Amino acid sequence: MNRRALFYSFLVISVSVFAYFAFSKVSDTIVTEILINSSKENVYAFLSNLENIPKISLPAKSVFITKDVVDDENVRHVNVIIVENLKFVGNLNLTSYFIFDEENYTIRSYSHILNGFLEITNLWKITNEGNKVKFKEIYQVASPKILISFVKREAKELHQHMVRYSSSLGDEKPQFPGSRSEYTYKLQFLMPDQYEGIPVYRVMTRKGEVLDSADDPNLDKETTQKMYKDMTLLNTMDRILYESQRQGRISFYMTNYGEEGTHIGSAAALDPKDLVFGQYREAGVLMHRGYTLDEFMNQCLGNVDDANKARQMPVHYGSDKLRFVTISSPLATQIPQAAGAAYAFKRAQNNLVVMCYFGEGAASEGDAHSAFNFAATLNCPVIFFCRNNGYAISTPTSDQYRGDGIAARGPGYGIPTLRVDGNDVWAVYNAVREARNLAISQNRPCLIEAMTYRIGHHSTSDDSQAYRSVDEVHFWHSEDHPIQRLRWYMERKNWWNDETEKEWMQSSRKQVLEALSRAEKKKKPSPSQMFTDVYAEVPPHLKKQFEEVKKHIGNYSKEYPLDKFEKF
Amino acid sequence: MNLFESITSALDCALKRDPSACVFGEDVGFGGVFRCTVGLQEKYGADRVFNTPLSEQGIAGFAIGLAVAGATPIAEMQFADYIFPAFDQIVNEAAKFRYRSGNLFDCGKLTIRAPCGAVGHGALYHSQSPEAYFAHTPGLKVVIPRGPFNAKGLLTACINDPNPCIFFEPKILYRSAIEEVPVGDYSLPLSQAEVLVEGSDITLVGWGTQVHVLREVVKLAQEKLKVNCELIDLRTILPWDEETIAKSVAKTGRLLIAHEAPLTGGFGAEIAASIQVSLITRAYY
Repeated sequence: MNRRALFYSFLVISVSVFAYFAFSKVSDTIVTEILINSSKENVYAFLSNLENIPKISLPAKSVFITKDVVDDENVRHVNVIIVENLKFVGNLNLTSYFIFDEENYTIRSYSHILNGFLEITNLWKITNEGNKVKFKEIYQVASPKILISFVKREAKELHQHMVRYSSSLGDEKPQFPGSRSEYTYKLQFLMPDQYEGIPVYRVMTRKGEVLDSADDPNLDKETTQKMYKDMTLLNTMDRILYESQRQGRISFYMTNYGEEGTHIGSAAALDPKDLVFGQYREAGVLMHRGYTLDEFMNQCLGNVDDANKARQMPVHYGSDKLRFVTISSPLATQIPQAAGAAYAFKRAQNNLVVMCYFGEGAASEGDAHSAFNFAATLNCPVIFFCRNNGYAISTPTSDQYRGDGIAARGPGYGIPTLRVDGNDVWAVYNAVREARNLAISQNRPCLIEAMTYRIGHHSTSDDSQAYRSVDEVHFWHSEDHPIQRLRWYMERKNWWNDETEKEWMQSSRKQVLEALSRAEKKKKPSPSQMFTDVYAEVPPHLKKQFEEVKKHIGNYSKEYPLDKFEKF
Repeated sequence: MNLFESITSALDCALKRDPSACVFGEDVGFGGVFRCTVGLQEKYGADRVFNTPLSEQGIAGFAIGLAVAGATPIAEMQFADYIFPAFDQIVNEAAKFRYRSGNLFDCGKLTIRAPCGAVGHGALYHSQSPEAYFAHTPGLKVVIPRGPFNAKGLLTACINDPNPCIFFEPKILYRSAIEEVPVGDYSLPLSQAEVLVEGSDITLVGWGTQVHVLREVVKLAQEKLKVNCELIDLRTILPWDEETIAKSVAKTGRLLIAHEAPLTGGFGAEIAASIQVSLITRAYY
């Protein structure tokens, strides 16, 4: 084989290098890797003399040369990566070369992937038909146009590039403030579809089988059963409160159906003292922390024992004792607040994190952007936990964003990021546990995007059949449900069976109904509570307004249902 | 001291007094565009006096979070004209935090400072006086000082107050107003107007820069019209001191309010309406 006949083309992807490598494992598929310390002359010589490569007795067609980083001593390292199979996991490089073996008419390229993967995305069979070169895809193609543009380039251009490349190895590097990249001489936009989506980390299959036992957090029977009971009790409470709204017993409700795994998996991985800022669909987190059914019911009923003194709609829970900041209706406002609270934690050196939940819809708000940027630049130990459940009321993700979900934004802010299967309670647990370690040990934020599905309507004011099909919902309910998955896991361990399920479902239903009944018997708070807590003390003007209201109601007491309220 | 120096002095005292206090905002680290934070980062460290990214809603939200976690945030909005991206955080979050949680949580330690008002060359977007927007929000305190001595005392009161406070600093006074200001820690009461000149014919009420305008009016009215004016600096816009003004108007029988903000829906309207009611109902005398 005439090595000189090798045509080189090159791939220049001017991507920002994302500092965080979610994965440090090196794939088994790497055959070997040579690292050379090199001057620019050596690199040039190396590139010009690829005949060296067969000395390690591998086919040239599978050789990649990639430019790597400059180390602390200002020595430039060049990685030569020889790939037999199709994946390499490891260092991320700025500029990468691409080799074309004309004799075998095959060509391989690869692209950068956000989380540290280098993956071959294209393998092409090339044939000559007349004067035209035909391309046949053998392996998955991320962006054929980009690849074709490579192949059309000739050795002449490679040579030009090598000259430029070797000169760029010299003294000139971009000196712009905040820049950490290299110069490129290639005018090429970074296209969003140039790399694959960020993968979804999971531990269990949809049938509850743990794929790699090393990933099983191996929580004991009691802990696992508590998690399962929390998930199912939440589900039962949702059904009863949803129905009670339909019967006019409470004014409003929001169910958590389908997202139980994200709630309980994340809550279990936190320290109970970690401060939680929620959005509104995280009742399971509170439940796991020990919020009682009576407390849930009192809030939803807005009775005299509601901690919020009946000032907010149902599901706006909060507990200072359980370190769960009271929910507010405005969307995404809690996200920058979580960053600020985390900053206070960092200064207090209390080894705690702040956990912040929000949906993929809320992530479109300006507050979310500010929060990510503040947390990253001010080094705040906060976990941003996005519940991507597919819908923001009726708005599907396709109307919400055009990029690779919420996780893809993390590296742009300089935030370590992980996408996780939200219906896999162990994957969520592992993800949050690792995020917590990272946030505390490095004093920096983490972003977790938990992929899940909102099986219920947005709220009792919504009918989701107007914008999605019953079949779609049915799929998630029957094929990919976090509760069922954990149940299968437990059944495999003989920790749960039909009988325990039946007993638990009966007793939990009874507990919820009893709590609801107790809460319904209580009166509403005194109307005087309208004027307290506006300020730490009631100021004179509010005292005056209160007296006016009191006088008015005294004069027109028959017009008001005063028997339902505590006295003034 | 001039006014920006008295602000620096108040911040210095707060940082000394309270180790959880943090001062931050856009360009705060190097001393601020109005020099209100000069020397504080060197003195207290970059973890307590620091720059934030350019996002007013981020600054407000971040500050609320600090307060909820028990720290004392003193946030700066670079201009009152640019506070509006933070409106939601201030009005829907800070103001309602205690109320909506039934007093389980609050952000009362929050203070937001912002330079306000006209200087002359600031034109449309560096001159506004947005106090009335915030005065319509129960749960907030809104304060505007007229000079260096009041600025330090009232800012200290805001920082120590258990409610979220917005402190507007008339930026024309940063350098023009010079007064004797104690170097040590002191505070002045919030929600108390101050009678600056006693008179019998008419009550003049203003705050911030307008107090200085009204001082000239007092002189002019005396000289040219032989009218004896009583001058009151409102100082705190919310909750405002209705009693002091009502008592004064009960005496003089006339009231004139001057503010820099737009007339329609301005805070002057609130004062005028309330004082008429209080005089009719004889609420204070």
